[in-house]
Amino acid sequence: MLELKSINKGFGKDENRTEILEDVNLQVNKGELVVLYGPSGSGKSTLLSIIGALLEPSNGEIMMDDENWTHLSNSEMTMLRQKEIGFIFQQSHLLPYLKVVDQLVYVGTIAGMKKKEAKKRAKELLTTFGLEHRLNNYPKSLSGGEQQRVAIARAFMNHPSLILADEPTASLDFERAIQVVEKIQDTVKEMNITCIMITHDTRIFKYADKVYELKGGRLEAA
Amino acid sequence: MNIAFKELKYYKFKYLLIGLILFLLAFLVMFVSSLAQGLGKDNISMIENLNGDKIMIHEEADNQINQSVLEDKDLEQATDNGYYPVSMKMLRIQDGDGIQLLYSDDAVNYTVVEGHEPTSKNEILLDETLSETYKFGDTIEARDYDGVTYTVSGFVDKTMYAHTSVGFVTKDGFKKIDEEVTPTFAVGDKTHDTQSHINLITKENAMNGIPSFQAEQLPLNLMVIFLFVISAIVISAFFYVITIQKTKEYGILKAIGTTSGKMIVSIIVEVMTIVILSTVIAIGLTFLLANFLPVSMPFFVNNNLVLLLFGSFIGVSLIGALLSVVKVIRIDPLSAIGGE
Ligand SMILES: Nc1ncnc2c1ncn2[C@@H]1O[C@H](COP(=O)(O)OP(=O)(O)OP(=O)(O)O)[C@@H](O)[C@H]1O
Ligand SMILES: [Mg+2]
Repeated sequence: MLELKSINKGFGKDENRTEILEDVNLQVNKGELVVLYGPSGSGKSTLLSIIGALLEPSNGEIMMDDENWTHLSNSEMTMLRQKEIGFIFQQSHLLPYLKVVDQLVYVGTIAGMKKKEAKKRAKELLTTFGLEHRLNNYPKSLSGGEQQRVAIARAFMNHPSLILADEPTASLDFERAIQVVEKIQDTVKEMNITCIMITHDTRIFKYADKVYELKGGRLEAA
Repeated sequence: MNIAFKELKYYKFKYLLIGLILFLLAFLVMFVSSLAQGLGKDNISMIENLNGDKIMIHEEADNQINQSVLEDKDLEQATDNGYYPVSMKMLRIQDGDGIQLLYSDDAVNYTVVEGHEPTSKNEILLDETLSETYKFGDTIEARDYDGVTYTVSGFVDKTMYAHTSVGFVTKDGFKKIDEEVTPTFAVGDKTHDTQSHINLITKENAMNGIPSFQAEQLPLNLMVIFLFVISAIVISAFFYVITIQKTKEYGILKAIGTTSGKMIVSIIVEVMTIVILSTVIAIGLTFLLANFLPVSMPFFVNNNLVLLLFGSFIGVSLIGALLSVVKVIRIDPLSAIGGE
């Protein structure tokens, strides 16, 4: 279970200081998909970055199955991102010089998989997200939606215990978006992992086990 | 999976460009240092080939072996200690450059590359640098001694002193210009007490005693050092700029869990690949060039020096990569990918 205990986060110093998150508490069970929404600038991405070991909270604790994910060194945070977390960013953030299949194989190998095993898994995941005909393309020759789907597939590559998705469907048309969310939901259930997804699209809410709204720095169940 | 090579392949134009610049720099370094070596050989090859570590020389000669004159009693002491006396005298030639006319039993090691040793007083065995001017059997005529001529009996591998070719003659041959066959210096190994006006100097002392040697080596070696400094700056600047351009990519790599160590390895692999390829091509070209240049051209590729230069290039490029490495370690993934 993922547990956030009174997370606070502010930026800046002294009179320039703005508090973005104030006393955020959240519990997400394994196999659960949770949706977060809220106005632009409310701190959704900030919260996701804190959970994703990309940012340190000013205060509070993140617990993952009895493991404390707070107050870690840079390299401990890197190891969490490498082994435990699959992050889907607001933009796809692919590496321009890697072919689609290698984007995933790379993540697999740094997480310790054998190359052959990584290749097999990469192809499976890419097939799941409808990209089997794009394996050997560079990102620049893919459409925005295809790039985003590669990024989604990449997030599952390292057998993460936690998937964090920041508006993963923003660049997809509605039909595609539904398909992709269904796939994410399936995979989360199947792998029994925790997933937190940010979205503005209320039509996607029905796929979530729980929906929260971030408003004024606080998280409220919707 | 090694992403360094995939990256090199994808951005090949950029990396080819830096490779080309490094190749030119490396080639210039090889060329200038081979030129320095070649000019050095024109000055010191005879000294290098002396059959002994020590040179007995008159103190007033100021370490210039051709300026020395040994007296009979010095000579006696020399031969007693196993030193080989050498008679050497500058001979001006009609319609040609001077030759260091040399007579000695065993003082100089050389290899005959064409023809044979001088067997009569009329024969002379020349340094191969002159093989473009004279052929086997040609006659050379002294300018300052009426009627003195020698016939070329063959050529030896490069044997020069202070940009002047050495010509070996027999004792009788030397008598044609110096009846006394005055010994100039002597070569041997043993350290012994000498007359107060005699110095025992090392080969290195004798090399540095040649005014043209010092005058040529210093600026050329300075050039080589400057080229290395330039290479270091070019490598660091270029890779630093590339690293900055790739900040976002490094941010992505970090965000998906790549350790800094792995990124540093890939930077070093990239830098090394480019540097090794460009310098190896430059070295190859230098050896090729050395084969095509005429023997009279002062150009000598010293294998040990090539290895040293190659190693220096590797060292310099590692220093050049340092700046990028520091930069990459400092990249914060979240701000690098655009902080959303
Ligand atoms: N590194 C930072 N330094 C200062 N302020 C920051 C930093 N990162 C985020 N902020 C501020 O924190 C607030 C929340 O940003 P965040 O990106 O989390 O919003 P969001 O809810 O994801 O918005 P959107 O829906 O537009 O993506 C914004 O006002 C932003 O300007
Ligand atoms: Mg956001």
